[in-house]
This record gives sequence, C-alpha cells and structure tokens, in this order.
Amino acid sequence: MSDLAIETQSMHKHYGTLHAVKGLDLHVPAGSIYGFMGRNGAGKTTTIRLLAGLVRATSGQVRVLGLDPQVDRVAMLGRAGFVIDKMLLPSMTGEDMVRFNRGFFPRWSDALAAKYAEVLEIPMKQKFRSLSTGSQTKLCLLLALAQGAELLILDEPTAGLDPVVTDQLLRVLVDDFANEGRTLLLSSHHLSEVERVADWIGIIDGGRLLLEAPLDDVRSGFRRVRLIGENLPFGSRSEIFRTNTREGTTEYVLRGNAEGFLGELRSQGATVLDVASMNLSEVFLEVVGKGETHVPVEILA
Amino acid sequence: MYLWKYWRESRILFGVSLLVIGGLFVAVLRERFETNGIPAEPSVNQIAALWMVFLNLQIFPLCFVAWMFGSFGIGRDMGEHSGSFIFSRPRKRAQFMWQDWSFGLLQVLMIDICLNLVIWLQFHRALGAGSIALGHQDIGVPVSQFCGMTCIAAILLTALVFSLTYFSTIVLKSARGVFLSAGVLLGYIVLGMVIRHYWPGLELPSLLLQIFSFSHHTPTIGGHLGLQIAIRTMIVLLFPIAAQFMLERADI
Repeated sequence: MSDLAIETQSMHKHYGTLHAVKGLDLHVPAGSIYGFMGRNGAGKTTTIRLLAGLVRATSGQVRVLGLDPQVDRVAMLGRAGFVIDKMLLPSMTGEDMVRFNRGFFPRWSDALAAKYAEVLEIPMKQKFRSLSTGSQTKLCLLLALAQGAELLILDEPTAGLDPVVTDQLLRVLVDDFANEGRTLLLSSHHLSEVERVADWIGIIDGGRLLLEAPLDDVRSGFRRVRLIGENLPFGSRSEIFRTNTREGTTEYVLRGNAEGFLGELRSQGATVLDVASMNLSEVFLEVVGKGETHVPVEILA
Repeated sequence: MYLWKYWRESRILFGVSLLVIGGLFVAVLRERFETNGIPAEPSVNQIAALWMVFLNLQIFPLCFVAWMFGSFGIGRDMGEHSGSFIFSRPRKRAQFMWQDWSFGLLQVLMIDICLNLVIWLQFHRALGAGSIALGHQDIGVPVSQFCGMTCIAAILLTALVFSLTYFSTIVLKSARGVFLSAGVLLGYIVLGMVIRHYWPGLELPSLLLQIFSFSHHTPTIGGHLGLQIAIRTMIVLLFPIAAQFMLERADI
C-alpha cells in the first residue's frame, strides 16, 4: 500500500442509468509519472473526480496517498494537487488567485509561484476570464505546483494548447515536479505527450481499465507478426491479442511471450514474414479500438 | 482567505446598497416629516402612516438586496464551473458554505441596521427625545422601541430571503437559484391570497413578523413575540443546514 500513491479497488460510479466507471482497479506507484489514457468519455475525468473526493463512488475502495478521499478529504487535499476543470475564479487576477490559494496550504511557496509565473509567462495582473486558454491552464498549473503537493493529478493538462505551451508545461512537470520523486498522474488522449513523459500507463475505455503497465513493458510487450501457415491458432492462446487473415496471410498482434509462441508456430511449419514492435499509439489503438477486447491488466504489470 | 473572496465579490453591492437605500430613506422621511409634520402625540392614522413608511416601505429594497446577496457564494461558483477548484482546496465543504452564509448574512444585517439607524435618527430629529411614545403615553410604544422592533422584523424577513436564495443557488448549483427563490416567495404570497379568497377562515403565516397589534387605537407589542422570533430564527437556520446537507452529498 505504501508503494502506491493511488490505489482503487473495484471502483464503480453510476450517474443514474449511466455506468461511468466499471470496477476500476488503478495502481499508481509512488514517484511515477502515470499517463492515464483514454478516448473522450472513457471515464478519465470521472475517475479523477473520484480521486479528488468531488464525486462519491457508488461502490469500491479508493485510496489517495493512503487516505480515503471521502473520509480524510481535508488531509488528502492538503497533500495532493488537482487540476480538473481548468476554471478558477473568473473575476480574480493571477495575483489574486495566488493570494487566495496561499492561505489553504501550509507548504505554499511564493517563490515557486513567482518563478513559474515568469517561466511560463503568465500575465498575473490580468483577470482569469480574460486570459487565453493557454494562460488559464498555466495559471491552474502554477497554483497546483506552488502548493508543495506530494502528488499532482492533472486532467487533460495540454488540451487546447499550442505545441510551444505544451512543451513548456511538460518540461516544468517533468523537470521540476516529478524529478523530485513526487508522483504525477496526467490524463490525456494525446499519446505522443504521454509517451514522452510517462513511465507508467493506464488505458481506460468504457469505464474499464484495459491495460496498466510500465511504459517500457508496453513497448516491448506488444508485437505485430505476419506469417503464412496452415492450422494456425486463432485467439485460443493468451499471447494472441488479435488475429486477422487476409489474402493467405495471417496477422497477429501478440502480447507477452511472443518469441516462445512464434517458435512453436515455426516448428509447426509456419513461415514468419515479419515481426514488428509497436509504439504506444499502435498499442492504444489495438487496446481501445477493439472495444470488446479486454486485456487482463496483470499480463504486463 | 475565503472570506476575502466573498467580500471581494460582494463589496460593490454592499457599498451601493448602503448608499442608495440609506440616501433614499433619508430623502423619503425628510420629505414626509417636513411636508406633513408630526405632532408630539401622533394619532393612530399618523402612526399607521409612519408604519407604512418605516417598515413596509423598507422591506422591498432590503429584500431585493438580500436576494442579490443570496446569489453570491458556492452556488454561483459551481455555476461558473469553479466548484472543482474550490472544493479541491483542503477545507470541509460545510466550512465554505457556512462562511459564505454567515458573511453574506452579516452584510445584509449591517445594511438593515444602518438603514434603521438612519430612520431612527430621522424620527429622533423630528420627534425630539426618544421618550415620546406613539399612542397614549401610558400604554404606547416608545419611539426607540418601535424602531428596534421594526428593525428586528426587517432583519428576520431579509434573513429569510437571503437564506432561501442562498439555499436555492446550492440546489440548482448556479446563481440562477435566485429565480427559484423569487418563485418560491411569490408562490407563497399567491398561495396566501388564494387561501384567503377561498377559505377566509384560514391564513398562512405572514412573511413579516407581526410585532404590533392595535388595541384601542394604540399600538402595543404583540404576545408571544419571543417565541415568534425564535421560530422564525429557526426557520431561517433550516436553509443553511439543508444547504450543508445537500452540498456534502453532492457530486461536483
């Protein structure tokens, strides 16, 4: 438990007839940068709201820094920073927001706030409502960073930002926050950004966690193989994630022990045409694009 | 810090309300006193006229101000999508809510009290010493007591309007709760009229505390006033308690 900054067990959330989160088992190691990925409406924001204690789980257990967000909400929020809606108080300027926020957090750092205001080029004298989307997001992030949190949870932090601002934000998050051994969870559907910074990933779709693993294991664990042969297995083996046959060629997406499986096929007379590794984007599309397929999370973890 | 936020958002309304309502009443009362003149021992008709000016006239602007103040706070913040920011600060939700409600009510009460102070000063200036009674000297109500009691009546009504409106903004999670609150108040008044029309023997409790009753053409303080005030205070408190109950169970 102590090695996990966030842990959920069989977490469900219903909104009336909508089953937004379906038995989510999330494990975010302490000190990791965890990319929480999913399509729009996959359940990312609901999950983050559950972690923040803004929303009550219908059933299941939630622990953030070892604390229950419903029972120990104040203690948990004192140690964890959240950026969810990227909406602060519209009539306040950046300076007002710093003044407002300072009183809530004993470990608040004015020096850090001033530093990020300068580094991220945030117009601190401008009212929040009149800031650009990028500056609004940066101000949200500034407040979260300056509060001295052990854990930072960001919902789509780069949504709507141009590449320069996105680069600035990711640099700050990785260099200044995560490199100090603190935990960062960021949700996104921008795979390249997640791939750039994360060391763990979780893929959610339809409220279910389909995959959770260290990023390196994901990169090395999935293979796309094309081969020719007769009486090939179709989906009966745990290594086979997907099979597709076209014009006499069979294409497998394999996970886990691909080499062992290919060795067996070769011994049965199959001819392997090519074996390609898969990047995060391809894995994501395989996992999420075939919504009915469930990848047991323990396979790669 | 949170009180500072509330003050920052509501201070313009507070200042304008104080100036406009205070100024308006000074002008109205001066005109009334100087045009009509108040004798040392006013008649019941004059008392009734004073009553209209002194209490009934003040409740409209005060209720309007209380209604406006009720729109500030957590309900409005949630409507502006700032709820997730506010409620991810390490404080209990109830704490935010009670700070909003108390500070808003305090501002409304200050406006009530200042307004009644202005009115009392005008009476004092027109009638002289506070020992002058409205009605017969032996059973009448001294002016200062008259002013004090009408101030309490105004406070209870504005507190009710403020609390109902604040609660409505929490229910709707938006400043649009002011319309719900106005609808409820208006509905109550219309319901009272309907009941009076069809069942003349029945009457809904008045929104305004009935402090005085007139016996033998002389105003006297009504019976069970302490109990009436206590009940109305409890009704006012029910709204923030209900708001807290809802807020603590709400999904943000």
